[in-house]
Amino acid sequence: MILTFRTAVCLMYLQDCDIGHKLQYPFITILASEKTKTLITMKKILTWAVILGATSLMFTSCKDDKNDDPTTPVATENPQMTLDIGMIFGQQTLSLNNQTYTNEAGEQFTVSTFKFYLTNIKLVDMNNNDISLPDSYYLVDLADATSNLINVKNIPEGTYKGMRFMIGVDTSLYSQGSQPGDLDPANGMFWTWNTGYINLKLEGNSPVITGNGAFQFHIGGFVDPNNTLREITMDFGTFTLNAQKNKNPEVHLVVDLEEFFKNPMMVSIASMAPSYSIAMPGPMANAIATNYQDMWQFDHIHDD
Amino acid sequence: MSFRILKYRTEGAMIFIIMAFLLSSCSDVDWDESSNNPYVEFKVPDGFPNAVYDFPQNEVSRSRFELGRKLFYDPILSKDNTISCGSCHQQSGAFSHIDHSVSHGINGLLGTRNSPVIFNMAWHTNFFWDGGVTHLEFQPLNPIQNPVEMDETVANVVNKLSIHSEYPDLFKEAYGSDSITSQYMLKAMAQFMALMVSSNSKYDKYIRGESGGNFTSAELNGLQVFRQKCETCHKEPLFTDLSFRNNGIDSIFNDIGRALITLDPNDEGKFKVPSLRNVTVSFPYMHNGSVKTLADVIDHYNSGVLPSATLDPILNNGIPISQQEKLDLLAFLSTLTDYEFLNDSRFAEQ
Repeated sequence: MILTFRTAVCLMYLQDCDIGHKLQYPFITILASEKTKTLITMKKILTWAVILGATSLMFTSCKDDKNDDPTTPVATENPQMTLDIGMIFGQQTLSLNNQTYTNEAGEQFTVSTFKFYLTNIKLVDMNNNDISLPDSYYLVDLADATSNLINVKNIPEGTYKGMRFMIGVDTSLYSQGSQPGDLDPANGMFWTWNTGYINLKLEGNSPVITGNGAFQFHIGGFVDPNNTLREITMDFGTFTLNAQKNKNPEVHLVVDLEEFFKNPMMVSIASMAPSYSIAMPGPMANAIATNYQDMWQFDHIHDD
Repeated sequence: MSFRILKYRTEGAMIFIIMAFLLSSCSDVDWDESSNNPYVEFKVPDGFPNAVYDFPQNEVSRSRFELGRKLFYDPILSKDNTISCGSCHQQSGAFSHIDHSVSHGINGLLGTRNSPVIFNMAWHTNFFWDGGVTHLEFQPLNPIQNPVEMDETVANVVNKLSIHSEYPDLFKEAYGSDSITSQYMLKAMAQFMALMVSSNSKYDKYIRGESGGNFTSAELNGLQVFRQKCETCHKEPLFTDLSFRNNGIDSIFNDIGRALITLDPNDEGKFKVPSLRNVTVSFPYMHNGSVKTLADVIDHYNSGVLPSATLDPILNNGIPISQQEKLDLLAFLSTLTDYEFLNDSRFAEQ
């Protein structure tokens, strides 16, 4: 019934059937039919509906109809992209617990947790304008294989030659209270005693600590002079990102954890004795954020 | 809308559903039949500044308030289900921990600071003695996760609430949410606390010229002394200027206070100025609960201030207070006790 009303409205006003896309909620559809009623009697509508409903079944030109059919994959109207984040340590693939890595200081260690916030994505168009993608806050977790595929929906149609994003959660959110989803404090990326998100968390074990003990490096802080938010700028080089309707190109990035421990400051796990941890904002967290600023590298783009 | 439309039964039914939907948004305002007022609402009391808590993004409703209250008094928030917020924040003590210098968390572990009062939270931009938490909705996370308080994880609290026999329905009713999230839990608790307003003490009635507000001569004299010697930090009407100050309790700091948050050596030994509302029932005093009585507090300012690099300059020579002034001041301070607030059954464990 609702579908036929919508089809009737759509066709009677000779509007582009895309408008029907906005009428997918029954509530709005009913309001639209109310409006129609002021112009045409119900009887007419019912007649039209039967005729036009049948017609629309024969000529399924309305794109929107696809969305109502659960058996066909949902076609996305607006352009989207997927960030595919590969994680490495130098020449090695980054994986949890089993693989041993050696940092710049020559210390061996394994990784038990590696998580970070990738936020505030901006696309750089061919005229060097930054196009901000609102509400882009994503928690990437090495332990969650789905989280390093970030699907960003509703990006403005266009061609882009680069992108920017932030590592960490910016201060604009702090005044808005508790947040859901990736920003949920239950994700363990939030300092409860000193309000602030942990922007990047690296935990693991190392034989340089007695008994192959654990280290915890929680990098956060958003107040100068120890503001650990970092903006990363990526030039796509010879590639371009073509954001088109019904397309979902993949932008491949690589995160090299080796950079955490070097350039410009060599970070030694042993030097963090006796706690082997960073658990608050401060100069050390800030220095490591500067280290990892160049951890993110662009790799390639391929269209889907 | 013509009657003609209503002839069509399906249309009529749809309209009815829409109307019911629209009206249902009002049904959350539950009225207190005895007073003909809403059960809960937020009003800025006469003479108070505007509140800072953003009520529009967490609209006041009885179901949200009651959910927050249930959470506040439920030990489910702690790791071994033994400690609730109400354990250390008791209504008769203006939601401080009566007669405890510091409080015990799970397994009898002791904290390091005096349990602060809870009222007029809607006017605060930061929380705890060091102001480390910057939003009321983030406040409950701290005691939940503190190892010497509830020692629980937020994720696990959410899990426990999700499989509870009552909470899923209560969250659904309060926030329309099919699943329980920390966001709604925190909003409900923040709403409960933000609606705890203390503004009906004898002092308030005196200021507003209401019955029950007639000051004795001692109370009047005490108010004068207060305004000369205490008001700078304990600013009316909140009775705190919300600043961080070192009031000379220590010369050497076991607890560096505000500097833990700012990392600024100039903030060492500074703590948030507490409100003096309900001060007669919120003993013991100071950030570490080291001073037992109000008379002792006055003596401290008169003659016990300890020097240090960050001591508040206005305390460099202490605050000279005569014996008569002390008696009058004590009389005045007792007018700040808000018995309506302390006995308000809406804030009590049900």
